[in-house]
Amino acid sequence: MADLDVYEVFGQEKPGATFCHAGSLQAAGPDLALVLASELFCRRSEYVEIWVVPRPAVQVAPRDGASLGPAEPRGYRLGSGYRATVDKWKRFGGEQGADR
Amino acid sequence: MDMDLQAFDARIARGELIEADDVMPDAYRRQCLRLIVTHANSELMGALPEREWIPRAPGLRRKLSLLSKVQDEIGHAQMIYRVAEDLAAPFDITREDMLDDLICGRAKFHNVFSYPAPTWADVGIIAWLVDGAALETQGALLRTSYAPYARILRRICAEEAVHLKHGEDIVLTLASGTPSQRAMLQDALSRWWRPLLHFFGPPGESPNGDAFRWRIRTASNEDLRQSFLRKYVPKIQRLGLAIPDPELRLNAATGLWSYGDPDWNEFWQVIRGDGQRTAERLSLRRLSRDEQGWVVAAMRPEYAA
Repeated sequence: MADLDVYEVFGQEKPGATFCHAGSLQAAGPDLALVLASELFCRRSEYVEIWVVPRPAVQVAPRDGASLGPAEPRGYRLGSGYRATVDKWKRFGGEQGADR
Repeated sequence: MDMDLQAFDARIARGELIEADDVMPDAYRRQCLRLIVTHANSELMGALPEREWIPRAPGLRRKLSLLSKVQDEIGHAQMIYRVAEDLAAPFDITREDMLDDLICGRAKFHNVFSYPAPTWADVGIIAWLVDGAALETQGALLRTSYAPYARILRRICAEEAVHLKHGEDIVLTLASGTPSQRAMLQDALSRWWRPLLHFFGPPGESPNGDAFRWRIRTASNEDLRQSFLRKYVPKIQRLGLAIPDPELRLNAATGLWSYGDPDWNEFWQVIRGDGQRTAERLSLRRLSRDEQGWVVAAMRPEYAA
């Protein structure tokens, strides 16, 4: 079955949800890939929508590369980098921060 | 493959997971492949004894349950062969090669699928206890270091858990039925008890140290068997069924079950491909491939629109 193409299958569990990788399959063309994907991954209505993507169309970034974010701490980009606001609010009286 | 074995071992030791396109030692690839292909073969062969019962299932609801279980098992085989294909690509082994190996008796599949299922109670015992045993093994494999296998196992385990419920329902129905239904259930349990002990493989038979060192496998044969016995012996006893092993007892101090010698020679005989139904089931598999070959052909690129 070396002349069949590999498709990666993605599914959406409910409307509005993020599409997640479900698995992969082999098929001759996208139409048959969709048929097989629903046979293999949707026997229990797991998804409201599925995508099949030819594997060569998936570009993978190097896992250790700088493109996935610098190694240095970058709390300033995260909510957790601003925990000091809790104490800072206390200077202004009241129990907690205004939005807590 | 040209790679730093120590660096790979260090990745495993750090608890990292291995992906299909990662650099990995050939020995790791071969061990994963052997385990995964055997699992795929077992899903495929496991559907056969149950398929025999679809036309004879008592009632529409049971027929639907069994039909969907068989469909699930074939689906599992498809998904697992897919994972195996990616692993096997560097060795130039295709899915067709794997299926050929199975049909020609060159590849292994699980021992339990070499036994007959003569009554409807066997179907219940298979779905409850054989799938229960499979869930022990597959549940432990969710922690395997080979990530694509672990991912597909999460889906498979969820479906196997449904099969177990279906089997439990058949067994509970028969256990609360007529004396002849209870007798049929007892006979089926007695037939399956030894193959069930065999299911996890001999104690102390560590498959190959590397499988544990590389976290391809995470639980020993005996650990898995003990976990199975802990869960199911009390339930079987609660149903008032007799387990055909006078030496079976729980050591209260260790929490471990001891059991009589289940004749490991029989196990090895089945593993060598000489089980009661091995040849018959393989020829059935060969027949399906020949008879349904036109479907596979119709799905090939030259016909696909």
